[in-house]
Amino acid sequence: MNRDRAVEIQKLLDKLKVAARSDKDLPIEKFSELFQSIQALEGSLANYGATVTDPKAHVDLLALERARRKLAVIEALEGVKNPSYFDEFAATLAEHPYALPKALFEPQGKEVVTIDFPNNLARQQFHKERTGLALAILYPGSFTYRYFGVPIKIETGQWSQTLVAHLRMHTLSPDPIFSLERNGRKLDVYKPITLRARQVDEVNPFICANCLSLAGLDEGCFHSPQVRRPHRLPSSSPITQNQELRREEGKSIELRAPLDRVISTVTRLHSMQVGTAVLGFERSAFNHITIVDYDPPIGVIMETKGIGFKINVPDQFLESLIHMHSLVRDVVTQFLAEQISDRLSENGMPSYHLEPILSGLIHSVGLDQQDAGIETIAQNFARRDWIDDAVQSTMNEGAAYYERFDVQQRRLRPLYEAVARIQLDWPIIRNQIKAILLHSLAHDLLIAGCITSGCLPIDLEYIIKDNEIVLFDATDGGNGVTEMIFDFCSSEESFKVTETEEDIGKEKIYYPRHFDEAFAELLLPCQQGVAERIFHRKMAAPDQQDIRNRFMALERQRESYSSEYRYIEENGVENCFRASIGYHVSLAQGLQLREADRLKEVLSVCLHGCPDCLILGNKCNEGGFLEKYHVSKVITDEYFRHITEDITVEYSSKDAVIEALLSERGVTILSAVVSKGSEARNAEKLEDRISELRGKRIAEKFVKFAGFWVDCPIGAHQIRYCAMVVLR
Amino acid sequence: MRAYLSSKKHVNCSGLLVFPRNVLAQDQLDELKSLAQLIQRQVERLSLPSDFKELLNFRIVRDFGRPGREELASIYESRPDIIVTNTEALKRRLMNPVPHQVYREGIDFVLYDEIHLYYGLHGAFVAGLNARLKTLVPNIPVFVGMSATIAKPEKHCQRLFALQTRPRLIDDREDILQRWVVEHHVILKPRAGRPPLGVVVDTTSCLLHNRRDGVANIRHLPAEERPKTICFSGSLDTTGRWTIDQNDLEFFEPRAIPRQDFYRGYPFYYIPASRPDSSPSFGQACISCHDGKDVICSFCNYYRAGGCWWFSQDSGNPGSWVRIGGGSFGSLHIPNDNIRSRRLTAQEVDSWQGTSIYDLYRTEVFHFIGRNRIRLDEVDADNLIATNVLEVGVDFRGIREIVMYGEIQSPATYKQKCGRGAREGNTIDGLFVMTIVPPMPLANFYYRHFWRLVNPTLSPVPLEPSNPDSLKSHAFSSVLDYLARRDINVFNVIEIREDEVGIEEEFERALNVLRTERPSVEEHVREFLRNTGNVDETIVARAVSEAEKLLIDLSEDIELEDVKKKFVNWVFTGSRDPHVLRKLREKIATEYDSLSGYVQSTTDIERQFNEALEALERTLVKLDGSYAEASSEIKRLTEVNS
Repeated sequence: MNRDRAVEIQKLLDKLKVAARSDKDLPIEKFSELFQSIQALEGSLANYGATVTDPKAHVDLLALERARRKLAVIEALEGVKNPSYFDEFAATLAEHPYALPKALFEPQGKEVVTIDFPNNLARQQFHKERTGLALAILYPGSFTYRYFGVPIKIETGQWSQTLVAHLRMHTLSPDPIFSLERNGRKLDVYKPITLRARQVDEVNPFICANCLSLAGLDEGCFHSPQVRRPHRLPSSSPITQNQELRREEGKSIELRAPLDRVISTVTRLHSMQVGTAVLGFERSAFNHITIVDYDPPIGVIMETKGIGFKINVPDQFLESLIHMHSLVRDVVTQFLAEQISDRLSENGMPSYHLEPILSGLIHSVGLDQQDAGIETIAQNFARRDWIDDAVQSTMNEGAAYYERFDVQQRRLRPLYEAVARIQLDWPIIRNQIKAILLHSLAHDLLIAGCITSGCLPIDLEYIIKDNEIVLFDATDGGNGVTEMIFDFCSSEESFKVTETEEDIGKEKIYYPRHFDEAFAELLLPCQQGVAERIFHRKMAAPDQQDIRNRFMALERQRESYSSEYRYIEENGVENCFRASIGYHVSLAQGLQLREADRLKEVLSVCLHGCPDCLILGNKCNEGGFLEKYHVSKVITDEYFRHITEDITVEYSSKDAVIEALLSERGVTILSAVVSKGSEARNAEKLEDRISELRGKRIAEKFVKFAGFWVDCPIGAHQIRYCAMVVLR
Repeated sequence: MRAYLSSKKHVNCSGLLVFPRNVLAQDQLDELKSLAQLIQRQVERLSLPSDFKELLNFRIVRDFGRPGREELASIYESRPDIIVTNTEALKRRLMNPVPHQVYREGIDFVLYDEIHLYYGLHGAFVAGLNARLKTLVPNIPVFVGMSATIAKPEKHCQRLFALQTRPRLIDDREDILQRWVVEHHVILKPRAGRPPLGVVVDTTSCLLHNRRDGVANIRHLPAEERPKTICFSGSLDTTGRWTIDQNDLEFFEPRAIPRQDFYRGYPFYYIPASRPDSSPSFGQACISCHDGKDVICSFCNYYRAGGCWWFSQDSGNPGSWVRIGGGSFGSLHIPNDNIRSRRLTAQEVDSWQGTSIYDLYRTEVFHFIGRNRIRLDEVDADNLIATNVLEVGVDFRGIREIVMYGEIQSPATYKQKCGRGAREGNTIDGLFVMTIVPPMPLANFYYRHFWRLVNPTLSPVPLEPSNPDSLKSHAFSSVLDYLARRDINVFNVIEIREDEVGIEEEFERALNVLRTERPSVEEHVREFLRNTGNVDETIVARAVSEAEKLLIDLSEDIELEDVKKKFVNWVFTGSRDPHVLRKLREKIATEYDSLSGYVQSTTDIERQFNEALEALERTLVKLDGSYAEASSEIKRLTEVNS
């Protein structure tokens, strides 16, 4: 603001005063209120105008910054025993990124945050860190050994009652740097300027077994001191969300069949601005996890490079899933888990209560009933008469199977009542399926990116948008990963997936060289999950090494877990996911804790993603604890079947049909189904058919074998052998 | 010949050999030196003039770690033929005038070993370093990149070495490969619910005891011949915990009385006869098994359950425990047949004082009295639990097992780690590679596709040399390179100890150069950027200005206890004298507090103004439509304001 602007404001205020005085319709109270406001502004305007237009103010701001840097130099010296070279202390004086790199593997980052150790006698008080790094390992609530060789905690203040950490002790930017939407709410994100830290004196501090807060530090809690136990410092991880703020698009390409139906275009993003927000943290101890939210979230904006994938999710596919009742019930469960999780902290309950509360709900709403479709579930849910039963069931479960279950009915009931007000119908579940599918595909794309570029998951990040998934370099300025993914996105040569043995006795190891091949491979049915389904459905084991290995392990385990395995056989492997949540099944069967735990272990059959295929752990945008409610391997399996439906034919199809498909799309999947004993030889017949086709000439090209896999869809008691052939 | 010799009085440096790890650099330096000695001995036999013989001798020097001032000066004054270094050292040398006496003469070639390790942002920083080096030397050195585990190396080298054209690829495909080592590869995935590190500790113990066939029998062997193991984990924290847990399981902490009542740990698993059991599969069946009369694990439930360690001869027998230490704390013992592990990270390598790399297979035995740790003795270690510090290049003889735990980045990194074992070609026991998979996405992926690890296909590695942060940082540093090339010593401020006035003059000279030779300095920065292919005039101007600002800050006069010195001098006086440092801190802190108070009051005034503006706007909004215009005008002014 300059002096002219101050004069302009004053003129406006004068005009306003005249107008108010001559306004006969203005009630005296409002007149008085208006005049008070005008006078307050006039008072502050005089000071403000003088301060802001005073050149000294700017000079002093610069001088203040210089003095702060000099102090930082002195503090840096206190940490260096025998300084010899300029770069040992000068880095703290320079303006990032125009500075000497401390180490060649540490990014400079244009944003830095000061870690402040107040009252840290005889030790360096301020440490400058790159904001990106601070948000990854020095977020409020984290513990680090980075300084002085002793455990340090970044402060949070007390959060145990509301599970919200108000970051008042830290200095944040005065204005939000960007906003993002989460669960329908708009959140303003602030940049951390100074984060306050303190030393943890105890190696094994007392931790509250109820809320996992540390006793004796800044956290404290209102729970009984008797539930505090000494424990090594708990592990934690930040919950982050990325938001695209700006992009500059570059070249776009299309993928080869069959992935052209999944991803319509792949676009290089030469330059993009991404806001990364840390929304809170997960802390785990005593086999429990507590999620603490920040108020407000903190974050940083970085300039990087990326790659955008336009995803095609046909409505027809989403609609077709309404008939897959077990899948729909799983998605309803995942949806309700999200809703309960959102409301837990509002009711002052730690996140680890999610399972027993969800378990009570599953039982009471009838999600564990076989064959119940969305209509039945929605009707049951809308009646709200399940609340009493859910409360009772959760309390019983808590009493029977949890060492310390401090959920009170007076808190549980309002939570269920709040959940009961949620609208639950097919359109909502259909959107949820789409969201889960996109999230699952984002995980697949990220893993495929790591495989193709040889990077680690920490080098890459993802953003999920309406019909697009963006991968970006997780380094300010870029690290070359997405560029490499784009360079190796697709090839002119024929498509290939999975290990293929071209000649018996000649070992040929396949490795996906191109991104689309690695991604397609991740989309194939997980052979471990397939083996589990076939085993639990008591079907004959296919002659595939992966599946046979898993069969052997399952057979060994069945020797010791016979009754648990019987339960799965009787209730269907497709119902395992819901049954594995909490202990409602064990409660209904009156099992003891040990038996109940054994059942839970056996029920963790891969349906919605295990680490073998989809799970990213703490790397997931939803955090490791809630991840399983946001991804689904069963949905991606169905999706893959849907998008390859038009290129899939029976192995016994006529040559003309196969050749026409190959000519048109360049790729065909031949399948052989085995659902009863008489079809047992179909797998061999498929192999014979492939042998016949291989090498056949079609329009100047040759038929080539490109991959083989076994499938066992969740909705059908059958084994499908699939072989892909391509034209080259 | 005389004429030739006189023309060659100042032979330039032949090669700069850059290694990614200090252990590897030391290993290669040792090899090179022995090769040079061999050549020297041959040359000595020839009847040549002594100065010509001198010319034919290689001068190979080590420049990594933290050489002292005199040592560094002698390294570069000796006009070395070959300098063995690493990127961290090179980063400092470019800004230091001392090595410029060598750079000024030119360097024939720059060799980077294990180039696949320079990827991502780290690779970008190293690429920037090479671009700066090229700006400083009069010739363009030949850059050589070496790797056995990279696809498309030409593109990678072009970026890493800041080259305008694609480099030439020389491979050894025509060499005849001989399979002369037996390798066993096993990958384990802990069952759900089992702590992965517990599985790692148990399986490592099981593998090593069963492969050794009597650890006590090999104790007398020299370190080179003794069977050894390397365990890898990428996490500093995990290597620490793994070492502690492994040594705990193996009773490595000395005890006054050997344990008799084993309830856990390696002896627990040994010899089924030590466990009273009525199982018919025990007793005679076990003896048959051990004599090789039976098929291992065919029937025995204990073996199948992991309860029997069939091959192990290590029982932790109390009679076999050995005394440790001098007896100051009484008679303390450790078993002689336990597996002893030592942690090895970059930090330990940097502080390592050994003469041979086999000295790394020695570990200290500590006795704990309360929280105090007292060193008792040093004994042979069987196992190194290392970070990636040993991943490349270090070739120990006698490595029989490689154990890995952690995320698997790529088949290439797996192969690199496996490559540390059985270098001498073990065709009898073979190399045993065991991988334990943590719950991480890529590790699980490779668990499913294990063959891809064992028989890897090479893959290219990502590198982004145009990362703007890296470019700006290097552009700034290149201003200091320029000063160093002009022989201005602002970098090597240790000189202050002897010549405070001289250093102050150097800072003044530096500032003077930046002011009077600005176009030339800018051209130097521009040339660096040109080498990277990213000329940006904003970066050029800003880099020079920021460097100047930094030197001004350091050259600022500060009066303390009636003595006036430049800030940089106070800093160094303070580093030797805590009293001075405290006084300096107090003076600057007072200045900071007073400025901070002023700025705070300015901020308060600004906040009050904004609050008053918002309050008025709210009041106007509440009034009826006749004040809407004033409200929108206020809003406009607020926006202008913000």
